[in-house]
Formats: sequence, structure tokens, C-alpha cells
Amino acid sequence: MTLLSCEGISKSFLGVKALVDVSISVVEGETLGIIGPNGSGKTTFFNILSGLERADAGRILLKGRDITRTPPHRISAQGIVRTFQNLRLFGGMTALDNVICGGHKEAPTGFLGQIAQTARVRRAEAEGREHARACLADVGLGAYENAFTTQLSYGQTKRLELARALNGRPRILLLDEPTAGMNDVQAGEILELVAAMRQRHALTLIVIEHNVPVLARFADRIVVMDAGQKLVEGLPGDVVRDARVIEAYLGTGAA
Amino acid sequence: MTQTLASLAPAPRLRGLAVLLFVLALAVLPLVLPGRFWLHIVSLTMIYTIFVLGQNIVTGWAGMLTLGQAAFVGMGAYTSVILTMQYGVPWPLAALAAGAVAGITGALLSIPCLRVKADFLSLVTIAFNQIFFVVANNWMDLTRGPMGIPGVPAMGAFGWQATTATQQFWLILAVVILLFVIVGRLTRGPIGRAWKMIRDDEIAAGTIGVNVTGYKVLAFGVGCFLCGLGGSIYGHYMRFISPDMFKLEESLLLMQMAILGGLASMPGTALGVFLMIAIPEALRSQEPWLITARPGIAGAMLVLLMIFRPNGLLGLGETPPVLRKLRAALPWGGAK
Repeated sequence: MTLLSCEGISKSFLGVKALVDVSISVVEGETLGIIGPNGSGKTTFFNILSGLERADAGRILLKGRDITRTPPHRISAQGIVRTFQNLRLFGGMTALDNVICGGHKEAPTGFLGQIAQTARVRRAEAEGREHARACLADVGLGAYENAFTTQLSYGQTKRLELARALNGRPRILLLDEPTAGMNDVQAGEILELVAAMRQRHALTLIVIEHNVPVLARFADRIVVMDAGQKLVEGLPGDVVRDARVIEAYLGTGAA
Repeated sequence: MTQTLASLAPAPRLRGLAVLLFVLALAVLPLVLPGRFWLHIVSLTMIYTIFVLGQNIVTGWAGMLTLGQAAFVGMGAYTSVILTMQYGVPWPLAALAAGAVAGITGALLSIPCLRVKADFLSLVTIAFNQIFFVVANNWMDLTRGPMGIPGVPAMGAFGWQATTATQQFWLILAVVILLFVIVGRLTRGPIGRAWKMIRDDEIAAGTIGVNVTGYKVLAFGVGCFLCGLGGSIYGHYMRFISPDMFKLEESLLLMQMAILGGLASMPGTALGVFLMIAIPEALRSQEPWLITARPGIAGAMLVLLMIFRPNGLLGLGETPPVLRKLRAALPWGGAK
């Protein structure tokens, strides 16, 4: 069953066409990989999906409901959670607090309840903390609860952002280059971790990735983008052999 | 350096004990302090702590550089004084009304401000402070203008009035403790976390599910409510108010104290006020130049702070973006 469908999305910035009539849909439980050269519109697509940018044309349906003009926090509330290519962690907080923040949607934010510290509020706070701890442990950072983000290594911050996203209890998780800047071993570890989480939380995943061989093992289906357009869509095995893909990545004559 | 300080911070239980002892020590102060003068200084310091707490919610927790909080203090003071003197409203109600008027005005003012870039917010709040001053100074029928309003009744309720310095002291202390408990509970929970998320990274906060605009307006509302409530206490404690008590210079002082003590820190709030109000006021008779030189001293302290301890004396964690921006503006502070 189609969970998310984007129909004819277009977006341009001051005349630069970032996305041209892109249609992409995902089925519940599937992992969709998106590859493409730099500037091909992958991240713009994510930004539109998560409500940070508004599409010039086209619409996005989540389970048949139109979310094209929904602000980011409402999209998040409907279960679409994302990570960022360049990491957007909260620098003024510890690792655990970062993950707790990821669960904001679940927390009771009633003003008077917070002041009165009702039993319900206290319980929710304790549960939120435990859930966040579990998420942090899941990504292998259980020992770094009190570390500030600046005290973590790059790989650890990538994991931390993943933990924060998982604590948002996503139905659809958008991962923007989860393995950027990592060597093949580290990248393999991260994707293994993501695969485990996909299994456990029954996630639908959309993953932007540069590392084609890694993605080919991991994704059910791959979309290749180039210059703001969807170039090819298909099974990983077919896509990596497609002449147009090779041309986009390596230039003409390489095949 | 931040790590060392973090590890030096006492364990939660010890910290609770320390706070309790501190409050007890404050409470018995009127019984041991020699004379009214010292009591006045501590009372004044506590009142300013309320203002700076309001400033700190907007600037420290939610990360918005507002430079007009004194206008909200003044708005609260005038609301409360006019309500009690002209309409016979009991002080507790007038104080709440003062907070509400300032809080709602602040929230409304913030809505158009949030549409402009963060740096413009400072300009808009400065302008608001100036407008408030001009209105208070010229609306003779309502405020008596520059002559001010003398003979303001003391705080009190139900036929009782806090007339002695000791009674006033305890009343102010009780209010300050109550407000610290409330702000502590707000800032440690999901609401405070949402403010910090916005401060650290608005975009990430939005995609996590935080209604960024909503929480910014809420921060303004709560921060200005505190300033307005504090303004009511200020007016009824000083027994006199005039427009020049709420000028832009006063706003700058509030901002300086919040940064100096530590943004998003409650003990830091108290420390900042202690350094900038209690010490100069205590030395007022022996060293009168201290009050005059206060803005200069504050400026020098802030520059040193930005270089050596950018999170404020008691602030922990990473450099907040607000300070990073300020620091980047320094000729030698650009390199991290």
C-alpha cells in the first residue's frame, strides 16, 4: 500500500531549477534509496517533504492526505522525521538531552500541568527520559549520555542524530547521507544499525546516499536523480547497470 | 573549561540542600542585618532578579536578543500603580494584571518581530522601549509625565500592608522563591527544552515537531509577564514611579546582567544581579562613582566574558548563538 506519494514536484530557486516534475512514491515498509550527483535536487526533495521548503508545483500525499502546505512541526507530528546531511544537533545540550528533545511530540506541553508538575507530567517526563536512554543505547552511545555534542567524534554525532530521529517515533524516516564522510567500514556499520532499526520499528525509509554499492545492498528500490529530474527508477541491480546512470555519474563513453 | 566546571557542579541532592540553606540564610537576614539600608539593598537585588529572570527566558532559554525589557517592567509598574491608586484594586490582583498586560503586549509585539530577521528584533525592542518612554513621559492625564506618581501604596492584601522593611523583604522573598520554582519547572521540562531547541537550531526544532513561532511567542509572553509582575513589586516597593526609571539604559543593564551571570541559568541570573546591583548599591555612599561608571564597567566585563567565558559566569555547555554572533562582531573575537 502506498504510504507516501509525491506527484509532480517542482521547485526553483531564483531561476535555478532544483526539481522538475518529480514523482516519487514509497510503499509501507519499503526502503527507497535516492542517488544522484551533487546538485541533483536530492536534499531539496527532502526539504520539501519535511516542510522546510514549499514546492512551486505538485503535491505530497501521506496516506492519501495532502500535506503539501503543512508546516514542519505538523509534518513531523504525522510521523515523517528526518536527519540532516550536515547534522543539526543542539550544541547547548548533552547527548541525552538531544535525544530527549527528539521525543518532543510525545511530551505533555500543557503550561499549567508543567507548573503544577502533576503526576501525569512527572510520569511522562520519566518515561520520555527512559525511552531516550534506550534510543541512545540502541545506537551504541549509552555511555555518552552526559557528553556535549562537541565532545563526540564525527561518527558518534551521526549516530546521535539517528538516535534523536528514532526517539521521534517515525513512521517514515528520511536519512540524508547517513554515511557522509565515513570510510566503507564505518558506513557499513551505520547502515547495519539502520537496518536493525528498520526491522525493530517497522520503518519506512528514504535514504539519500552517495555510496552506490552500499546502497544497492541495503535498498529495496533506487531512484536516480540528475539535474532536478528523476532519471531512472528501479531495482538496485538494474539501476547500477543502467547506461543513463553510468553516464550521469561517469560521463559519456564510460560504459 | 566547561567540562571542568560541569564536573565540579554538586550532585542534585547536595545542590538542593545548598539552595535550601541559601534561602534560609536569606530569610533570617532581616533579623541579623544592621539597619534598613542593607535590607533595602537585598530587597532591590531580589526585585531585579525577577526582571533578569524575564530577560533570561527570552534571551537565555529561547535565544532572542531583546533589548527593551525595561519597557515591560515600566508597563507593569504603571498598570499596577494606576489600578491600585485610581481604581482601588487590591495589590495582588493589580500585580497579576501588571504581569498580564506586559505579557500580552510582549507576546503581541513579538509576532510581527518574528517575521523579521533575528537582528532586527533587537532594533524593534529598542524602539519599543523608546516609544514606551515617550508615551509615559507625555501622557500627563494617565501618568503625570516626568513628575512621576508619588505616594504609591505599599504591597499588601486583605487590609494588611507590608509597611516595614522586614515585611516587604519577606514578601518579596516569597514571590521570588515562587517564581524561581515556577520558572525552574517550566525550563526543565518540554517547554524549556523546546525553547533551547529553537535557540540552538530552529530548523531542527521544527522538523522535530516544535511549533517554532508558537514557542517564541510563548517565551516573550512569559518573559514579559515576569518583567511586568516584577515592575509592580518595584513600583509598590519604591512607593514612587517615573518614566526615567524604565529607560533604555535600564534595559541594557538587564541584558548585561543576564549575560554576565549566565544565559539560561537561574543561579546565574541571581549572580548577575548581585554583581551589577547589590555591589554598586552597597558602595553607593563610599564609592558613588561606581553607579555612574556601571555601564562602562559592565561593558568591560562583557568583553572579557566573551573572550574567556562566553557562556556567562555560571552558564554551562556550548556558546549560545546569540553570544557567538556578538563575539564575532569583536575585532579580535572572530577566530573561535
